[in-house]
Amino acid sequence: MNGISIEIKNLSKKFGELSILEDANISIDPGDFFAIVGKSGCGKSTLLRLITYLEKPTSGSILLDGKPVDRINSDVRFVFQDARILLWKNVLDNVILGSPTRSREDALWALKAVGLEGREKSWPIVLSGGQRQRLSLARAIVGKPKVLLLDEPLGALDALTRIEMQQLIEKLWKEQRFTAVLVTHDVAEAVTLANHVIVMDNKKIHKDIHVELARPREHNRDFAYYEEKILKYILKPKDTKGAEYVI
Amino acid sequence: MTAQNTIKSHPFSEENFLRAAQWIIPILLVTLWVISKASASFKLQLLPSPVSEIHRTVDMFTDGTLVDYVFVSARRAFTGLIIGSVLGYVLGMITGLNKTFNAFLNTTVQMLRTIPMLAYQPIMIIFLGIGDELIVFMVSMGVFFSMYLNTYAGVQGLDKGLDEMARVYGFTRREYFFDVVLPGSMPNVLVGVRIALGSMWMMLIAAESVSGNSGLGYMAARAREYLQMDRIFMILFIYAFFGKMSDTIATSLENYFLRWRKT
Repeated sequence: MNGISIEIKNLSKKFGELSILEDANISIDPGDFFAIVGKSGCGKSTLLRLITYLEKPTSGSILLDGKPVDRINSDVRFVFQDARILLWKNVLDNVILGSPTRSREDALWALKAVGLEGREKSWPIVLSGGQRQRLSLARAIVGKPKVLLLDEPLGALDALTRIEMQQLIEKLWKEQRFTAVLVTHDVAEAVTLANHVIVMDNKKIHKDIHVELARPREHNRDFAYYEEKILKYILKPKDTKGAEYVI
Repeated sequence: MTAQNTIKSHPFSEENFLRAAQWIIPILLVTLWVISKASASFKLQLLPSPVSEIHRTVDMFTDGTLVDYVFVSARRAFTGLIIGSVLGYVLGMITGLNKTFNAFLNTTVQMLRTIPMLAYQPIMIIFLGIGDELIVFMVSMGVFFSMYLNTYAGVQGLDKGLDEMARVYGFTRREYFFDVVLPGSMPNVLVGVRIALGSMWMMLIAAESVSGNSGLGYMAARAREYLQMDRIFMILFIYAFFGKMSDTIATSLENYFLRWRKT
């Protein structure tokens, strides 16, 4: 098991007077796959940014493998929605820069893992949206991170590419067993990939749903059941009284 | 290597056509000149004939004055270009990257740049006298502002997302500068180079015509005084030639440094 545990305790974040995240509590086991869904502006991306230490918490704490997060750490990698690739570096050099040791061998391995072998010398500008996100994933996994945070990585892709990429993410997760946290507004994507789906609404964690489906997941009745259940929480959170977050 | 690159270009291919097409208007202009002189209307008396133009050019070329003037001007132009662009680039980078320097310098530069360059000339004549120093100074000033402004804009306009990415992926300061800032600002910097090459010639000719005793600008100013139309015409051709040369240099810099933008 490569992954490590993430423990989030009473976490809040304010920008000035504006509250973004309030009193979040989540406990993620090593190597687990969590998805966070919710409407835009509910604080889900901020949660990821706090885990990477791109933002500092206003109060509360985050523990990675029992140790508080106090700096940006090479064990935690982040995949952004817009791939954030260096367009002036070729595919291989982009991945090398993701490796903590700047290792060329590791970069070649990572490119192979995401199905981009043979494209090492290409300029990113000729890659399709899906290929760019593959590159971004290769850069994220090249250092064999213990935690992979994915901030709507497939949001800008077309439906078919998205399915392929979901399969790729699942494959990488199974092979490397890192702890994964995926932020998405696509409920089907969350059910396809995650063991736990956290519903966020209005700066708060609202519900944790354990998805007990065998992998690879098919879009059958059970799948639809989870999808509907999660959607119900997202769309009508006020009707579900007393939905306290419990793991 | 894509398949397209391996296909040999046909003699009548679109690419060759476009390469030839750029010369159609210049050739038409010269043809118009020849025809209008041949039709010899009264108003065109002062227009030099193509034949006398060629004579004048050959004369000046063989007695060495033309080569001398071109060399003198080119030396001033390039000295000014190097001083102005290096200063503009370095200061643009520093103010773009560093908040303190930005606070100190940027307002001043932004104020100075709005003053027309030729308005400095009388003051500078007092300090530098009339001569090479003044001309080089004027050229440097012209080049400096376009390089500074575009470099600054390039650094400031860098995608903030890349900044964050660099932090998450633990880029060293060196890597951040050489792998993100430098290449990321290059498109703007090269726009600066293109404009700088243009202002370099403009400032050179303006400064030389006022304060030189050699060079192309000086020759142009004198030819104007004596109404030597063949000389004036020749100088126009030389300017056009240097203009094209500057453009070629700028284009090849872009082709090299921005090769990643080509699909």
